[in-house]
Amino acid sequence: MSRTVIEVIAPGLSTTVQDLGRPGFARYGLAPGGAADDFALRAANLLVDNPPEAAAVEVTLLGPTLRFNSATAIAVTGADLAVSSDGRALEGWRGRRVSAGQTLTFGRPVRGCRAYLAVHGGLEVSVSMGSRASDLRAGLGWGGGRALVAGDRLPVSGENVPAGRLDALALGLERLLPPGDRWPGEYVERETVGASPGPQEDHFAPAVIDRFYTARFTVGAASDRMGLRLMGATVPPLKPDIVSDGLVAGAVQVPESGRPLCLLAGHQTTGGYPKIAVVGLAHQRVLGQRPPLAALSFFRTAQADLDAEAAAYLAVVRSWESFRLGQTPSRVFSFSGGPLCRIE
Amino acid sequence: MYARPRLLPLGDTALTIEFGTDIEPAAQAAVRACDRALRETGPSGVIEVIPTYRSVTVQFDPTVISRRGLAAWLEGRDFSGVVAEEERPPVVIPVVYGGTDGPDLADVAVITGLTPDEVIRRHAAAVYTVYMIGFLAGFPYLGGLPPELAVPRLETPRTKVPAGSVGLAGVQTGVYPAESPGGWRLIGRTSVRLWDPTRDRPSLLEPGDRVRFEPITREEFDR
Repeated sequence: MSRTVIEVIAPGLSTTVQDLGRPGFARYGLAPGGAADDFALRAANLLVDNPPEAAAVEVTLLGPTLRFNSATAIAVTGADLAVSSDGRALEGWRGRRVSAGQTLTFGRPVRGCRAYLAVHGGLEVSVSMGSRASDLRAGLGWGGGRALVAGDRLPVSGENVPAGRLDALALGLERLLPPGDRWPGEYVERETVGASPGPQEDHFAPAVIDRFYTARFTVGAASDRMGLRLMGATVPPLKPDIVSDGLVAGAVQVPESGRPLCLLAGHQTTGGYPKIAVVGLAHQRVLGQRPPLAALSFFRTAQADLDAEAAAYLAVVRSWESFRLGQTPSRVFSFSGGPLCRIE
Repeated sequence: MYARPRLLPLGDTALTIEFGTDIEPAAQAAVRACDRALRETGPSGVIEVIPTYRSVTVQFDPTVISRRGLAAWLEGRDFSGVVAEEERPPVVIPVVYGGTDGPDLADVAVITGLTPDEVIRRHAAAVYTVYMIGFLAGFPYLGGLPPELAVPRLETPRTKVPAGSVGLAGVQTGVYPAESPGGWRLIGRTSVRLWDPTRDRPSLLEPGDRVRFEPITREEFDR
């Protein structure tokens, strides 16, 4: 019997396997990586009855053509990249059953930058350092750390999910959204993110800090999973470099040119540019969805407010797993944090 | 180095404990002590601990430990004392110096006013400390370079530095674990793999390790 696989007919621009990444190795120079938009990945997994850490396909702007050789359930979340199945448009943010031989194609990007395709059971690619995520710089994951190429055959479990179960999961996602979200994909079109003062905000003149929070930046074409290169206004630091210190996703570094670099999941772990601001955890999914030429602006938020938002965001996305398993999450709507949470 | 470390904000899931602004031994000792304390006896909820020359960045799960909780844990501790050095033997990294493996050795000799052989002798005589790992997975920033070997970075970085290249930049030396663009001046190359995902600990080195370089011939490298 042949193995159950997704066959890659055309790879798309930059299509990789991603999960929630591999935290804990930053001291060795390895950023956690994983999905550039963790919200969309978690949602896609929920919609096909997967645990949040299951591996899925991350599609960037120009998507692949994929064929399923076995019946299964899939969901596409995140960006709207005009996905269709055997020629018929496929609705995003919903689990769908597909049959053996069915082909998935992506068209012209409509909104957002990255879509996530989850398959029931998750992609069964090998685990390295606790994760199935592809890390192209560190040589980890599928194919020794590379994007998909035509002819790749991604192993999957090949089981289907009852339609009623998929409907129930979609309904659950609609109900369990972060505060402020009106529907699951609403954030994909946002162009403003909340940020708090970075560790070297004092390396910038007050007028430059004001400009940072009032400017409407444009995402540069050279942006990738490491970060967004922002064009438009310049916000140069008073002194160009610092002795390197640690970095996290969401940090906004500014080199001497004054053009900010806003870090995503595949960032460097240390850096020598002053950091003017850091985007809040709950807003980082927006960063992963800003395509080249899209607008991006920052609104200054008190650290305490971003801390509360981050805790609320984590409480919601972690409640999905309890919901999926039919457990009643006791503290979903109490955003004070606490024992609900575990380290993933 | 500051009299008391500064706690710098780094978003809603991290903070940086800054001991000073420059590369200096006292700050490095405090970084090492703080790094060790966080890993060995730190509070739960800590996800990443990233030591650098002068600071320690801590990433935490805000639903397990709050920023205030972490600050309180740090408040009661003093990392400024002298840390007893672990007398683990240095990790020895064999290096082929010069030639195509170290294309900048001749320039380094000119800049430093030493002969190429003297550059090699002094580089290989020192024992280095891994102060941080960054830029690429497994890339060690080594302190302890003899001051007379300090040279500026290349004005125009190379687009491709081969994996294993040993370079100099300012008062630092380091080894490229993988092929990448880079601006350090290359004096040699090792076949030792500094980053190997198939090993239990993929990075050969970790912050705090000591390192020594040993000159070998091209024939020994190929073996």
